[in-house]
Amino acid sequence: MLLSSPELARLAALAAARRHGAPGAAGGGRPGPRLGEGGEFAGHRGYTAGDDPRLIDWAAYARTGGLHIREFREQVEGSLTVLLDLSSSMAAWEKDRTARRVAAAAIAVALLSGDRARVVPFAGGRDFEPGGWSEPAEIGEMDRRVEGYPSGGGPAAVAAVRTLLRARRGRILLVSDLLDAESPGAPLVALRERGHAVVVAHVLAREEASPPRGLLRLRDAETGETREVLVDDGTAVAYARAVEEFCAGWQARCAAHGMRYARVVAAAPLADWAGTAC
Amino acid sequence: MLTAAAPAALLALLAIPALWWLHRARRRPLDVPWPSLLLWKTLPPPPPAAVARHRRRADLALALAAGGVAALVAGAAGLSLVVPAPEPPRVGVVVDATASARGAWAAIRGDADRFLRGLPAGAVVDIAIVPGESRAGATVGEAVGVLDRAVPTDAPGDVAVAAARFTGASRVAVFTDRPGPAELGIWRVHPAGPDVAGVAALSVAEGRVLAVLTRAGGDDPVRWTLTTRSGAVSGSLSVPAGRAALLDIPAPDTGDPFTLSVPADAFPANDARHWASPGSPPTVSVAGRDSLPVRRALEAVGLVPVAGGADPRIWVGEVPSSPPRSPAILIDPARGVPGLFEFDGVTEAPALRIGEATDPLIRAAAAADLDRLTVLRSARLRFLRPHRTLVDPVLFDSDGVLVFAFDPAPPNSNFSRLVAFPLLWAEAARRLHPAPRRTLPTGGSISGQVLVQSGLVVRDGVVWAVNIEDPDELAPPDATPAAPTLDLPSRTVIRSRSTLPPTVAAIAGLSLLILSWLVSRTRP
Repeated sequence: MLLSSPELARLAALAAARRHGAPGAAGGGRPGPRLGEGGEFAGHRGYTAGDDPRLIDWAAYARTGGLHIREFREQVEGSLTVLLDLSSSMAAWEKDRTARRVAAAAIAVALLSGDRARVVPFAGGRDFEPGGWSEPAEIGEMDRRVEGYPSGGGPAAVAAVRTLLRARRGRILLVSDLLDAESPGAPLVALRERGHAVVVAHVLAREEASPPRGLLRLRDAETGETREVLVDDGTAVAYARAVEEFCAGWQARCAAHGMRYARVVAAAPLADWAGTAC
Repeated sequence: MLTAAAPAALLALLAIPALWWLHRARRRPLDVPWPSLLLWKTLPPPPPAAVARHRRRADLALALAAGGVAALVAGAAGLSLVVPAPEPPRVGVVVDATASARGAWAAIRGDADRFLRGLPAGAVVDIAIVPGESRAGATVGEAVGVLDRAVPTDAPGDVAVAAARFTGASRVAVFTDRPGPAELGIWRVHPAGPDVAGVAALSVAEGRVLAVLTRAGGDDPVRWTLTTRSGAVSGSLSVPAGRAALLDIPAPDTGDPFTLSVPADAFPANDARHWASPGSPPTVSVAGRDSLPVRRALEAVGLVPVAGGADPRIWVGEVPSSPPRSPAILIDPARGVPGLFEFDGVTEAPALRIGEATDPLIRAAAAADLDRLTVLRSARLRFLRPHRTLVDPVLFDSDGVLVFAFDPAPPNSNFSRLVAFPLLWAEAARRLHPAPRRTLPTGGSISGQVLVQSGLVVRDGVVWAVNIEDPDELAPPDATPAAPTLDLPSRTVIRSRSTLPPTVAAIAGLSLLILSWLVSRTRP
């Protein structure tokens, strides 16, 4: 089982809070967290430089003489699609199991919130049978299905994201370590521009930023490519900095395009990431 | 030359190849699967110098670990390194300046002078003018000076005795006009008492008793007593605890067996007897039947048999009704080849029978049957002028018994113990491999498969100490007593033994292993 009973209870509370519009809730079929140009009218605010002139409420200007911008609460469809990265790079340090737990938890929250949810596993060179659920009673079956998917395969995040470009607008959760040579950033932005609510759960292990010392021949888990490195203190610090910059880059990119970024540490307890990733 | 007290411990050296195998793995890059090289590609590749430094550190760790293992093994195995000290050529020169040589003195002196001047510049010369001045360890120039001062005199002198002093020399040159050797004689090594632990080594040379005394503890001088039939003399010698010291006293002039004793409280066993051979054939009293083979045998070994006497030393064909007052030999000629029986002093026990034909000298002498003996080796000393063999001791082997023979005629009479003894003991040491780190008694006899005595030996300039009395000595002892250090004059001891103490080896080995671990643990 990916999720224990206490964890499911915690997720049920999270779903209930979202049904009642608690801050941070991201339930499908309900006002999204992002204020933008479509969806339910949320109110006015003063115009500031850089705002889209098309959002100016000219009627209000006629009434008040001031420039105001109309704000809308985003509406997304009541469905959740979880893109679950099961490639070989996820195999190390419990990243794979943590990713499955994130996916299962997000789906459970969606089902408990009355939404539909589905999971789309991906890994290069493998075909998975996606799963879809609509009732909370199916959480157990969902857990087993998500846990039972085989692991291993090459990078395939870009292709997986692109399959959703023609899907109906909804919420999309990408659970991955994002360590693909071809970044899935652009297709994610494209999804976002098509009105999807996108959440990126970035799963990394602590060990990933702390390589062992010595003369190493690193072998890429997905491509088999090798690289000889001599890890001294300086190299270790530089590599840890590269990992942090990689994460920070994704976080900034998500923020710039209205996507939510959640960093999930492998093997961390559910409480650490459920609020942001689910 | 390396020797080991516990050679089985050397098997632990197999750990070194194992370390080397591990080292190879450590020197190579460690294969590590990694989720992705995406971020590694943003870092520059390692500089070759850093990789080389890493490998050097691994090499150092291996060297330290191997050194540590080797030190531990050396300590456990009790390794000793015997290093022959470099020694310049040493030449003994004996010049006959007795009255009989006066007629040929110019030729003798001229030959000796040319010989000396032809020696290498670094040669060490022991020169003896007989009779007259002698000098040991001289340079060539100093030896020539001694020769220049020499003149023939009427004083008595024995060229052979003088030459015998130089048995440690690589070459002995004797300048004399004496005639060459007489017919072959056979020297018999007499049996001695079994209990010689207190006196570590005993020998007689040049009318001196040379004995190595050891003691386990205490600071008082060791009292010694030299007992002969005619009486006893006593003295004391300072012997440091746990060490050995050389006792050098005038030998009794009787040619009879003597006993050198030290107090029983100083040593568990405390005497050593030496059966000396006189410079001229002594008489020996014989009881029992008259036996031609026995008589010939005794004469051949330099003894003059005299029938009867109050205390017969040899009984032929019968056993005395009561134990003799002194050690005696009983010979049974009825066996064709004489068998030997021996009484030891005051024992009341029946005569101890030593196996038939165990005395090869009697056998050889009685039957003149040297063809049955295998010649092992001969060692020769020669006169330069006239060009004749002075002494030609020959070692034989018969049924595992060592025999040596030599020309007993004057002027060679003293070479029996001064040359042939050392040769015998050296051969015994070579053949029987006495246990290492033992300093052992001296004396002399042979019986059956085992030489039943031991000796202090100087051969080829090397001091040997051999114990072949105890058959257990031939096997590695379980508890080897501490080796006493022989306090011989420095120029006599020309080989050194260096043994790594086990404690030092353990500390050094563990230190090296810890250092190796630290080096290998040091992060680059």
